[in-house]
Amino acid sequence: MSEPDELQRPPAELRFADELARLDADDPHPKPKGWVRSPRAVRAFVLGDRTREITPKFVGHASLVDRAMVALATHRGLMLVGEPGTAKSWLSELLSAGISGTSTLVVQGGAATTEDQIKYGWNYALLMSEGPTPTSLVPAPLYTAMEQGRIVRFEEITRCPLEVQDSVLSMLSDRVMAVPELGDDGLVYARPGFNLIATANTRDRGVNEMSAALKRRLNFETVFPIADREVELALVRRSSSEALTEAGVPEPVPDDLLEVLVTTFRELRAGQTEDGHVMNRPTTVLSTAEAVSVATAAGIQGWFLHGRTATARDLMGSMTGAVVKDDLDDLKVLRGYLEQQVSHRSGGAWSELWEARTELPLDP
Amino acid sequence: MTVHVLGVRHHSPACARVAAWLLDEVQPSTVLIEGPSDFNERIDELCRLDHELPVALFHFRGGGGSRRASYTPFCDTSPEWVALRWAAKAGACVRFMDLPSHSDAFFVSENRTADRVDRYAEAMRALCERLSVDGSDAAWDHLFEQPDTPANVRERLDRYFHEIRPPGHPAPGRDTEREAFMAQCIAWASERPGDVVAVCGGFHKSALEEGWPTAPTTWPEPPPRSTDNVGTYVVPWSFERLDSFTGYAAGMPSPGWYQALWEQEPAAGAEAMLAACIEALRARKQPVSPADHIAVHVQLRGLMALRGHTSPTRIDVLDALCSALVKGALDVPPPWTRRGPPLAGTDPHLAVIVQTLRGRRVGRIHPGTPRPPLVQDVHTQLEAHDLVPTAAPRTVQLDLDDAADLQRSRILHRLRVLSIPGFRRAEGPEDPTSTTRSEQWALRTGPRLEPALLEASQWGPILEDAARARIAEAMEEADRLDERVSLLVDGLFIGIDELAEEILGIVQQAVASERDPGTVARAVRLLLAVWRHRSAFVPAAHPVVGDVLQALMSRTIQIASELRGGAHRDHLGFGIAARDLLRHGPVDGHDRGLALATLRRRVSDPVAPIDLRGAALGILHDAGDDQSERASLAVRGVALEHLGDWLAGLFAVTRETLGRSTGLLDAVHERIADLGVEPFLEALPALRLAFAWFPPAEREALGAALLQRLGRGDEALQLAATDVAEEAAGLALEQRVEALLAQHRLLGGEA
Repeated sequence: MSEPDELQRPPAELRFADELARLDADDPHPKPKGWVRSPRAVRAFVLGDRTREITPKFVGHASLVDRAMVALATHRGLMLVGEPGTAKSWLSELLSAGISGTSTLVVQGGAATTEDQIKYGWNYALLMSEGPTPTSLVPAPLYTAMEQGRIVRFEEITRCPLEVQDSVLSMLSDRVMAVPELGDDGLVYARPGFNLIATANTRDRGVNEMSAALKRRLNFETVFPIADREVELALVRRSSSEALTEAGVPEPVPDDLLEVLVTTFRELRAGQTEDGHVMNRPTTVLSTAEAVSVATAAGIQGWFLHGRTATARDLMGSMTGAVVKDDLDDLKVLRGYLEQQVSHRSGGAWSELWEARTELPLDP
Repeated sequence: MTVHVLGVRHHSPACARVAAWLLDEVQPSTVLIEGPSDFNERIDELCRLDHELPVALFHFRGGGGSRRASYTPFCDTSPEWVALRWAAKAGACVRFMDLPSHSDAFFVSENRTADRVDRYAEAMRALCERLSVDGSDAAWDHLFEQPDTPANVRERLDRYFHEIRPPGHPAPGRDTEREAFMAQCIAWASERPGDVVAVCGGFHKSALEEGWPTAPTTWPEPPPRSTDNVGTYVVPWSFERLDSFTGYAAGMPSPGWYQALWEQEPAAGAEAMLAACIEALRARKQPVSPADHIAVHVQLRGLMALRGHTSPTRIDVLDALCSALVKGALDVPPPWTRRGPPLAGTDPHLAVIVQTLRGRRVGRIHPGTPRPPLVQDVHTQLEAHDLVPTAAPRTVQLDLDDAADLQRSRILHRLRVLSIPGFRRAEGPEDPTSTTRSEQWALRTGPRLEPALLEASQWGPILEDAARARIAEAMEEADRLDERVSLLVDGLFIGIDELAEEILGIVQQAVASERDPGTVARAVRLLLAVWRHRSAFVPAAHPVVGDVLQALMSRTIQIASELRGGAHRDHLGFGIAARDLLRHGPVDGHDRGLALATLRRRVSDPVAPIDLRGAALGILHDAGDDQSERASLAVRGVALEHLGDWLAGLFAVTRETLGRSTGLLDAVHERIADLGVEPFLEALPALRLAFAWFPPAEREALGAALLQRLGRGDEALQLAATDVAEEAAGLALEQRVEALLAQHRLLGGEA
């Protein structure tokens, strides 16, 4: 394995290896069977612990993390649902890194996902010469997770065809996988510590179509956008300036612009202004992750195209792209927001945003 | 002599247990309790009468514009209640030690015991982060509502309140006055023989401990009253009103849960509440299988182990139920992850669970308790205005032009709003802006009158306040603009000045989320009438109505800029509403400019509904921007199948002006004259609708003018021929109008 520094994106267990080592050095609490560390240590890893210099990595309800861990310690799988950009996959990565020491047993769900990408496939050359033997079998993440007693992550599970989703049923209930080609030796029993974290996005083909049998074997946890404005602002500030530094832009996006951006996103997301005026919401998801990329894009545009820090004009350009995606009515929502709300607001960045409304494309 | 200051959280069973323990240990001769000192003379009403809890002290202060009411609730798990009853039983001297309830210091926030926790949000946030819990309620349960010895709990309480507000930290706002008063009460008690226990909100503990040793040892002088119209009464209370989930800021959430923990062993109480939740869910046909039930328990054990709880806390139970029973995505976070009422869209399972943990208990006061003021107020008002109901039904006829009768009408309407039985309106105007000037009421007394009044006293100490508060609450519960506007109409009968800003503010909120043009149009019609016309019930334009109309203008602009799709009847009413708002409404230059710009954009917007486009053009014309040429051009340009709808929109708002433009009518004629029979028949219904905006006489004139131009003027007479029945109805209407005019001496000249 390469050093984390050389990787474009190291997995959580490598990126935070030193923090995990610190936690392991002092973890007197009981561990569920097969877990590499105790639930309390995992909670500290995910939510942070100032006293041990563990950074908070997931911003959200602490009780959600508790419920998720308890589900994983029992025989129910965990299903993380929520709008895009609410850090479901990130939470799943952190939990599996914390619980089983690896977060890389991942199945990426999609329309083309097949059973052999989930359970096992074959090395066809060996299969031809040796026939179906354990050596010619190529384990897929679920197989490995069961065999080693680890957490397997199933990303975007609802994007898979229903019959593919249901192929994990017996592994979740009986905790055994049958490999009929291997005959009598072909039963893989899950070792303690095995479990599954699935994620699904409420804007996709939701969880409603999922079979009742599978639903029954999963504990559902909904991950919500960040509730606290200041916390969200701090996250956008930190992440966008990190991304800009990475991209070679020395100037972060000015703070008053970030505040305008985060307020706009929060108000459009909630369909309500901070002072309680109810208004229309766009159909697009305005996640914190989206706000970070809007801020980053504005910073890059300002720096590389105009040689200066980002302005409201740069922001308006990338914001329009974020708000208006496939429904042109969202443009009206954004225009309405600018006309009804922003036009009344005073203060530098708000006035600049109002001035920058000319950047909006015309109604088609 | 020793002084023990016990800092507590109101309604916490852990604190109530510590209070009971401390009192037993210390056996004080003086017990001081944070509560209104003006009630001390009557403190026996709480100490000695056997009420069924929860009850509350209901405080009010009347007079002038500063009429206010507040409550101090007590339940079995209130440490203050435990102290009151202990002192009475032990024969100790017991007194409330806070400023009198009428002091200005209390009327900054609504509830006397509002949590100070939110003011120290920072300290709390740090604590929650350290404990990895969501919010102060979860932190509280984790730290205190676990089985432990009272001495340990007390020690932890002291440390907790020390962290929330370290010594030497001044109190925010008017709390300094209260703390000085309380410290002096303690100093007074310290001079008396025997030990002293003072029970106060934990937030005040350090300040009182620091303050009392240097305070004067006389009982403090209460601040002067600003009005004599003050009072405090014991009233029945309920778990619903005690629950912070229903908006009571100082409450512990889920009073039913804590009651169970108080009455039973913690583990047994938790088990009972869990079973009650499952039962309630099943009663509501929400499936909970035995496997789910097991999963709840497994999850609960796991959460308790993870969190280090020996007995399940409220959050453990809620989290376990949520984990095991919710099988899909939630639309909003679980209610217990934040303070305040559950958000709209809360999962039905979770709503049932939260409701179950709230409990349904409703308190009852001892029959010998002095009655709340509303009862007296109503009787006084009924007597003074000769409205006392009798056992045999009695009819009261009111002439609304008479000031005294109008006053009587208001009193009766207030009773009606409060659903007090025995006051029925038999006849009268349906709409408060109506010109009907008389009302008839049927009055009758019965056994349900007195209990209803007692219950209504929860809304306020005097009739006016109570009626207004009742409407305000109904408004809060209504979620549609329609319902709120009709409540507002109802409310106008009790007098618009009493419909203080809060009520109109609620209407305003609903305006902001309304998307239906028809609903907005109806609201505009009613409120513009209230704004412009005077009637018996609406004597003058009220500035807050103006604010609501401004909000309606913004909403109208928004809807006008977004509407798309086909023609709809509601669009015509909407167009009229927009026109009238611009004509007569309190619209500022900014909104006016925005409105006109929006309309200009929509006139030629191909995705706008066709009737809205016609109306938009008409409104621009009405607003002084001559559109007659553009209208003629547009008539020539509109697709034939849309012509009728377009004209309907136009004439709905400009019948009196553009409707008479010969250029426009010529253009319409040109379009129609060339039509074949089939296309004409297709266009006919919409065209009829468009011309229906003209009254028969104008239609006749239009027709005659057209025939004249076609050289067929002699046929014009036939246009006038109408149905005899219709004619008779017209004549009858005319007679009624004349009679009315005569009655109001409006037939000029001849008199």
